[in-house]
Amino acid sequence: MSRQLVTFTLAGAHYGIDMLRVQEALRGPARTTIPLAGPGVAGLVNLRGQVVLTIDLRARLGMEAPAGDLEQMMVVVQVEGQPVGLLVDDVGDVVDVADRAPQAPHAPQAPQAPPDTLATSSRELVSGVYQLPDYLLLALDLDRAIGAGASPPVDIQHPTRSTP
Amino acid sequence: MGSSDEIVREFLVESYENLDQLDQDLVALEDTPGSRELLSRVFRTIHTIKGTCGFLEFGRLESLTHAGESLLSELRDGLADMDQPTTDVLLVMVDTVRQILASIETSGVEGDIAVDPVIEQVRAVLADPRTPGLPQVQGPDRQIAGAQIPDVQIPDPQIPSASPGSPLDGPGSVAASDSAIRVDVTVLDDLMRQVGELVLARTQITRLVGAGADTDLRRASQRLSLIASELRDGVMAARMQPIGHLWAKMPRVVRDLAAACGTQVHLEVVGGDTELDRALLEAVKDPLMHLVRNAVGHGIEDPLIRVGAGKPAGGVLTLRAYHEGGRVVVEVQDDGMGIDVDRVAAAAVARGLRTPEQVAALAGSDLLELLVLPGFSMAGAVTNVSGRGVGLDVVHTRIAAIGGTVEVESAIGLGTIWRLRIPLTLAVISSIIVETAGERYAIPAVNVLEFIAAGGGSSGGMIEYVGPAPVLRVRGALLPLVGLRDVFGLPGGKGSGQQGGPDPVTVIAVLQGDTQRFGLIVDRVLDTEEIVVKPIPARLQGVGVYAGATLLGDGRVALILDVQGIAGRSMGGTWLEAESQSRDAPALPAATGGQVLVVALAQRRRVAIPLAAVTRLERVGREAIEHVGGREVIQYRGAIVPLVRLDRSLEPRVTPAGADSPLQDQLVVIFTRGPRTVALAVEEVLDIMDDDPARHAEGDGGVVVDSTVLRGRVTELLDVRHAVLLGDPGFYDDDGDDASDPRGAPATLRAVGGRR
Repeated sequence: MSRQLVTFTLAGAHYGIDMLRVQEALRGPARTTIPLAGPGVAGLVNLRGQVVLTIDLRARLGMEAPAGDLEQMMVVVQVEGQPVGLLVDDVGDVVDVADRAPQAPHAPQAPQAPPDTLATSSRELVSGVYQLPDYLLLALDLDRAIGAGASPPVDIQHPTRSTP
Repeated sequence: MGSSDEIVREFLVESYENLDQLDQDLVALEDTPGSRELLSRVFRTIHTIKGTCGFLEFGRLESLTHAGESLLSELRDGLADMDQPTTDVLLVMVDTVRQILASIETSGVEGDIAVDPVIEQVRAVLADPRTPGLPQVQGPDRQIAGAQIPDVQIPDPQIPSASPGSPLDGPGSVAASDSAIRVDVTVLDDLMRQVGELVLARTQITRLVGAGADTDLRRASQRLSLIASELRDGVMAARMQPIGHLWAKMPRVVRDLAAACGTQVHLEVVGGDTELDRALLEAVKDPLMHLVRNAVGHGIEDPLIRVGAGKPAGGVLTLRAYHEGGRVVVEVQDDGMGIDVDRVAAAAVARGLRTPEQVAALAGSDLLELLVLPGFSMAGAVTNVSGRGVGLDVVHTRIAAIGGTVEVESAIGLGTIWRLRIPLTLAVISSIIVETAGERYAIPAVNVLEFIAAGGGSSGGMIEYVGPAPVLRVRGALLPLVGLRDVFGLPGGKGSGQQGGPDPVTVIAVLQGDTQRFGLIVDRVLDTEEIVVKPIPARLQGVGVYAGATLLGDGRVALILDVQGIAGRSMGGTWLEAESQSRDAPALPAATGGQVLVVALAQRRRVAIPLAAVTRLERVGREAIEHVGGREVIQYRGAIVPLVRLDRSLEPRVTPAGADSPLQDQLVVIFTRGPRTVALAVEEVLDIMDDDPARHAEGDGGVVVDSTVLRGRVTELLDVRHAVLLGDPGFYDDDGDDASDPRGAPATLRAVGGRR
């Protein structure tokens, strides 16, 4: 089984996320900051009329904020059916990788566990490392990376049918 | 399979709708057993379901509805009479149909729901010997729906057989369904969203066109603007549904519950055609159901007790809906026993939700607020009706989540009214856009009372401080202030009145939360705008100060502030509902409970000072305290003011700890009377609270008048006159009138409200 990862860079390092979860990538739209939202939340953006939460991946991975002149891009991914924006430095190619150890000698690269020396905070977010010919690709665990797992919202727009 | 799935879905939607109607009809049939129209309608519904499931090959459902249909056709043809057991068995059948439908909805198959026992019950009722004319009296005991129906029960022959064409239901009372079509709600939701976008785009275009543009362009833009508004109103109207849709289930619920509780309840509904946005309707569904269950389960008494109390044996439960001031009010009223506040208090203490002291400090109406505490329950035991302790708090949170409020009124022996106030619509609200720290925020207009500009020579007065808490005097009342920057933990907060240039103007939005009124300090007020409310991600809801988000005219996202959340977050510890009024207030006698300023002295003593007597709170540097002739003085507003140390007066032999440390500022309470001023040194300002004279204990007649219990701690009440005279023996010299006021202060403030 091979799968495709959308790659992007953060502070020079290459990261990848499952392409099936990626909706689109765009140049950073105007963001509204959210006081008290906690670190890692970059703000809210208007994505064609939808209010979308944006995550600052650099902050989530414990990196410094980018240099002032860098205009970050936004990768929109689907999380629990909702779009969420990820702030990245630049969006790269789509690469084929293997899910498990390769069966054939020239099959796409298989993942390896991230090295122990990686900081604990980012280790939790990185699910594996692929040794690509030109660079190392760190596969992100998307749900952890955006800090999902908060209790689901009481969505009054789409309530579930409840029986009396 | 696609088209067949579609058919099944249609079948389910239609059947659910029909079954709701069926519940109502069956219960109504009990009251008007002869109604041919009701019987025919019931028959038709069951027949339709039977026919469709034959087509869709749902065998169990078919055989079940077939049995029901046989019984109904006898009833319709007047061969049998509608009575209690018949109704019960029909309702059991309807419930089983519902279960099967639910199974079909989730799994696509009928599942293994047992239909045979139900069919047996139906047959048993059918097979009962008909004995019309024989006056056999049946016992009045009511059957619990869903329980086994004894097949020996004899149909009640007292009820006269169907008189055809009962005057109750003339022809044409069936709703005309030809002019309506069924639309999937997701389609409506999408439409609403798109219309919201259209309105935003319109705002953008209007701005781009501007005033100086070409006439044709301007005219076209105005036209667009008008159409967009009308379209929005139209789509919103399409989302409105009468609240009667929610109430359709209630007759059945009330009937079953009353039967289970052994009470007799008559349900009345008023204003079922009052319309609400469907999203709101969904949101109030469960709270409403809960209140109804509560009213039947706890409110309405046993028939015997009712008769003993001089009331009719059957209780009346009234559901009422009406418009009031841009909101929809939904009431659930019963004429039952009412809520005993003492029992509420006792239960709150017993469950450890409140201490006895806290409860004792609450007034009667406040006690009812205990009802909505999480974990609160009055029921001694958990039954399937109620008593799990989750409930009223859920009602409260659910209603609060949609911007509504919950009120309760109750009188022992007379009954209880629960009142839900619900905004008309969630989708579009009127709001005021404010700016703070470069970001724009929307405040729902319904929460905004007024705007005040303070400082800078404006008419709004100055921001003052009670301890660390900024306040503003507004028409005689003290308005607690909250800085939005402080709420957000941004720099530049609180100081907006104190720092940065010579007293700049501060903009204060006076907001009304559920219980408190407070002023929110913002940087600027920009505009009023109709906004489309968008839900925010769960993690932002957890922050507690945002009610949602919206898109502004320029396409930027703005957060909608949750006024209640901000009040709870910012004022929980500092302020009670500290509102004071000065007009027409009676003179404050010594024993009257007013609001008191609670301060800490050395040795952790707590002393309460009548707030009415306090002129100001000030903070002075320790180095500013000078000694003149063995007494401490400070310079205050160009005068030399004696400084009284309460701790010394109270504890003359002990030197106050830390008093001589030059590092800390000294907090002083200023008393001014004409040209004379005395400063009272205190360690810390703790609170402002209401004082209850009933709880006073005699003091020693010295500086301390007496002591009282405030929020569970013994606090000494200060005799201001005595204390001030320690600092300035001539303080009251020039005016003999004040002898009538032992506190020595003009009693211009009267406390109102005030609770925690």
